[in-house]
Amino acid sequence: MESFININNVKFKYEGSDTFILDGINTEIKKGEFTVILGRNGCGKSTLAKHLNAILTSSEGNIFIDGLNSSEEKNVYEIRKKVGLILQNPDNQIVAGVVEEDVAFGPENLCIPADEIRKRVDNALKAVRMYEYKDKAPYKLSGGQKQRVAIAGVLAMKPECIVLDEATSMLDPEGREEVMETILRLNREQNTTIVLITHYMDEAIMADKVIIMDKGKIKTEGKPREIFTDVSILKDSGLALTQSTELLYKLKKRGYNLSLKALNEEECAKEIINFLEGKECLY
Amino acid sequence: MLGNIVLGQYIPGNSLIHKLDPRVKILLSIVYMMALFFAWNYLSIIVVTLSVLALMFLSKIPVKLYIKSTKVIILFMILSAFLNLFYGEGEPIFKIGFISITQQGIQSSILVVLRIIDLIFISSILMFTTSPNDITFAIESLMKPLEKIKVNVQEIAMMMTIALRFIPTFLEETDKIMSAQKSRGAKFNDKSMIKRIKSLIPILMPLFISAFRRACDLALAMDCRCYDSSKRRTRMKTLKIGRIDIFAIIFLIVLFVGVIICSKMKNIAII
Ligand SMILES: Nc1ncnc2c1ncn2[C@@H]1O[C@H](COP(=O)(O)OP(=O)(O)OP(=O)(O)O)[C@@H](O)[C@H]1O
Ligand SMILES: [Mg+2]
Repeated sequence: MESFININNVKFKYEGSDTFILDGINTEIKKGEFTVILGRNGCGKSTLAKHLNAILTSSEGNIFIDGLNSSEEKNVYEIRKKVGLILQNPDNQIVAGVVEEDVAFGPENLCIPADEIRKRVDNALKAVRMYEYKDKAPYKLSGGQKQRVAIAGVLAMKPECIVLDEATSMLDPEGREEVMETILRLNREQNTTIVLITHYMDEAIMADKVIIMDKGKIKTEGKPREIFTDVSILKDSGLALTQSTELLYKLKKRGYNLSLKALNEEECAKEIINFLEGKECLY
Repeated sequence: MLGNIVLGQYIPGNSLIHKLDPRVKILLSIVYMMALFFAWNYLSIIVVTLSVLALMFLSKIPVKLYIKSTKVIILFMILSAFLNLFYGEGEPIFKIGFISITQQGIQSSILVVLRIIDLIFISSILMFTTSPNDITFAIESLMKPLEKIKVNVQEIAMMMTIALRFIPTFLEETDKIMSAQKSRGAKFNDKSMIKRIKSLIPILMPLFISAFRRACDLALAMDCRCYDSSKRRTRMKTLKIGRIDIFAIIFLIVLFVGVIICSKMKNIAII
C-alpha cells in the first residue's frame, strides 16, 4: 500500500502556551488503511486530527498529505478536499438551517453540479439513517442526530480520507454500529482511508492499525492484536482492556495458563474451551 | 420560556400560495404594495382588499392568525385614522370649534386603515407561507444582478443563512443561562428598572462569550468543509418558475392595471 499521510517529527504548541501539545509525532498512514487513535483525555488526539486537514499547522516538522505539504498555504484547499474531518462537538458544526442544506454545504463548496449534489445528499442521509429528517431544522435534533448530520455532511463530500474525532460519542449503540458499518464499507469498497479517534475499544479492534498516544507522543502503534493484548502498555496509557482481554488477564493472574491473544468474545471463548480441553492455543 | 418564540411566522402547508416560487412571492408582494399606493379611492381599495382576501383564503391559513398579526400596529392604525379625519377640504359635515370633519377626511381615514390592513395581510401571507430559508434563498437569487457591481451576494446570503440558523440556538441558550442564574438566586422580575437592567448583565455576558466561541467553532467547521467566500459555489436547490407562478404574475399584472384604472375613475359614492 502506498503512503497517504506522512507525519515527520511534528511538534505543536498552541499560541500563548509553552508546553508542546504534540511533542515529536512520527508516523505514516497508508492509503486505504483503517487507523484508530487512542489515548486519555487531553493527550493531543484532537490537536493531531486538526493537523490532518491543515486546520492547524505544525510549529516544527512537516505533515505530507498525499504528497502535499500542509504548511504551504497553497495546498490547504486541496488537502481539505482530500481529508474530511468530523469534529468532536456537533452543535457548532451545522451551518445551514435545514438538515439537507447543511449536508449540501460541503459539496456546494466543491462546485459540484446541482443534481449530483442532490444524489449525494440523499445517499449520505440514508447512510446515517437521517433521510426522514431532511427537511427539519437542526436545532430540533438530538445530540446524536446532529452528529449523524455532521457525518453525512462529510460523507457527501466523498473525501479520500475521513477523520472522525469521537464523532460517534453521542450515538446509541445501534447508531454507532450503523455508522461504523458505513465507514467500514467505504473503507472496503471505495478504499477510503479512515482515521478514527475513539474511546471505544470494540471499535478499535476492527482497525488495521492502532496508535496509542500519551502526552503528545505516540506511545506505541501496531496491529490491534499486538496492542490490545499488551496489558501493561494499555494500563500505562490510561486505557481500558477489551472485555475478553480483561477476562483472560484476570484468569491468568489467578494462575491459569492462558494466552492473551484473543481479541473478541468468540476467540476468547475458544481460548477458554481449548484450555479446558487441555489443548494448545491456536493463535 | 423563550423557546416558544417561533422564528419568522412560517406555517408549513401545501396550498397554492405555499407552492409559489419564493422569488415570485417577494416580487408580487412588492407590486401589491405599489398597487396599494395607487389605490386612492374606494373602488380601487375594494378591488385590492377583495383580492387580498382571496389570497388569504387560498393560503389555507386560519383567518385568526391574520387578524392576530394586525394587533401589533392597531394603535398606529387608530392614530393615523384619527389624524386623517381632520385633514380634508370641502364642506364640513361636522364642526366643533375650529375642528371640522369633512367627507374627504372620512374617506381618507377609511382608506388609510384599509391600506394598512392590506399591507399587513400581504406581508403576513408572504411570511406565513414562505420559510425563512426560502426567503433567504429568494433574496440571494433576486440580488444576483448586483454581482455585476462587485457586491458579494453569496457572502451576504451566507450571513443571512447563518444568522437564521443560530437565532433558535441563542434563544435556547439565553433560556439556559437564565435558568442557571435563577438557580443561583438571581431575580429577573424586580420592580426597579435599574435593578432589572442590571440583572441582564449576568445573562448577556455569558451569552456574548458563548456567541464568540460558537462563531470560532463554526468558522472552523466551515473551513473543514472547504468554504471559501471568494469562490463561486454551486447550489443544490434551484428555483424554477412553474405554471402557477406564471398565473400569479398574470393575475397581478391584471390587478395592478385594474387598480390604476379604478383609481382614475370618478369616485363612486358608496357611503
Ligand atoms: N485552543 C487551545 N488553546 C490552548 N490549549 C489547547 C487548545 N485546545 C486544546 N488545548 C490543550 O491541548 C491539550 C490536548 O487537547 P486535545 O483536545 O488535543 O485532547 P484530546 O486528546 O482530544 O482529548 P479528549 O479525549 O478529551 O478529546 C489539552 O491539554 C488542552 O488543554
Ligand atoms: Mg478530543
